[in-house]
Amino acid sequence: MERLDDEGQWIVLMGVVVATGMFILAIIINQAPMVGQSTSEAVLEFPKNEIQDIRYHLAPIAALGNDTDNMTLEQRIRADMQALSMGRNNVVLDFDIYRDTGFEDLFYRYNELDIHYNNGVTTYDEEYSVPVRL
Amino acid sequence: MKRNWVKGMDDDGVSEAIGFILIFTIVVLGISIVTLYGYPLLQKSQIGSDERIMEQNMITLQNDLKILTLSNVPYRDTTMGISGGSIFVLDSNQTDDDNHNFQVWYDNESYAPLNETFSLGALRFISAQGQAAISVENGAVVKRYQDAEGSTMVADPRWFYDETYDTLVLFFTEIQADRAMSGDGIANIQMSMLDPPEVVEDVTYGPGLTRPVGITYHNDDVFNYSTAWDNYLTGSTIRDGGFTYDSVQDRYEMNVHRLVIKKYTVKIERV
Repeated sequence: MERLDDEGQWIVLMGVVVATGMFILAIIINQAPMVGQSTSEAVLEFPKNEIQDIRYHLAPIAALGNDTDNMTLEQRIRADMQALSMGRNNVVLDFDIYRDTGFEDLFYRYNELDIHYNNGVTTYDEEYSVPVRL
Repeated sequence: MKRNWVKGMDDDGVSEAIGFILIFTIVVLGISIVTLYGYPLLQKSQIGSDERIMEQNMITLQNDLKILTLSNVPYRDTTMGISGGSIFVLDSNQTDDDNHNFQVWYDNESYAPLNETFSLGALRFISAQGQAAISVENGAVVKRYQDAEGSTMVADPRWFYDETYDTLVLFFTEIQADRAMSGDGIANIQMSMLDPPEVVEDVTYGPGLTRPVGITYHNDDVFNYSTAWDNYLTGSTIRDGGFTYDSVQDRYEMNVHRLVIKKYTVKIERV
C-alpha cells in the first residue's frame, strides 16, 4: 500500500474559495438594479439657467415704482412669464414684489422680489433684494 | 494469487465492479435530482431576473420619453437587450379602439364643463415564459401579471401639484406608430417628437376660487392597469390625500385654483 499523499489539498481548498467568491459576486450583481437613478437625475436636472433667466427678467420690473401704469405692466408680465414658463419648461411660476421693505443704505433702496419656481422635480423659492438708486 | 497484507486493512470481498456501480448510481441520482428539482427552479429565477431587467429597461425608455417631451429634444434612440419576451409598439388608434384612454373633465370658465379625451398608445413588454406585462403608457411604467388581478406602478408619470399656488399640472403623452412594430433580442428604439407640445388648457379661476377637475382612466380589457392608476391618483404622490374617487361619475376629483394640461405626441420611428 502506498502512502497517502496529501500535498495537493490546497488546490481543493482554492476551488472552494473561488466557488464561494463567485457565488457571493453573483448575489451582489443580482442586488444591483435600480439604485439611485432618480436621485442622480434630480441633481443633474437642477434648472440653474432657467432660474437665472427668470430672475434676470423680473429684477427690472421689481425696481419700478408702484404707480398704476407699472401695476398694469406687472400684471401683463406675470401672465406672459407664467405662460412662457409653462409652455417651454413646464414650470409653475409666480412672483411677488414688495416695494415698502424699508431697507436702504446711502445710495440704494431695496425692493424685495420673491420668486416661486416649481417644475415637478425641483421646487425653488428665493427672496431677491433688488437695489433701486435713490 | 498474491496478496497484499497490511495490518488492519483487509480487502477480501472488495469488488471494483460493485464499487463502480455504486459510484455511478450516486452520480446518476445526483444528476437526475438536479434535473428534476433544480432546473425548474433555475428557470423560474431566470424568468424573474429577465422581468426585472426589462422593468429597468422600461424605466430607461420612460426616461428617454421624459427627455424627449419635457426637455424639448426632437430625437432620441435607445438600444436595449430584450430578454425573455418581446416589446410591442401600440399606436394611439389601436388603444382608442380598445377604448383605452384618459378622460379629463374640467371647467374652463365657459358655459359647460369640458370633457376632453386623451389617446395613449403604449410601449409594451410581454414576457414569453412568464406572465408579466410591463407597459410604458402616458409617461408612466406600469406592470401586471396576466394571471393575477392587480397591477402596480413601477415609475410615476411627471404630473405634479404646486402647493403654494394650488396648481395642478397634467401631462399627457400620446405614442404614435405608423405601422405595427415589435422588437426582440437587441432592439434599437428610435423616437421623435416633431410636433411641438400643445398647452391644451391653462386656466386660472378667480381670486380664491377652486374648481373640481375629474380624471377617468378607461382601461384595456386584457391589459388592465386600473389598480396602478387608482393607487397613483388616490395616493399621496401628487398631493397629500390625493384625488378622491367619485363612484357615481366614475372619476377621480380634486379642487384646484389653476389647472394646466399639456399634451405631447411622440412618434416611434422604428424598433
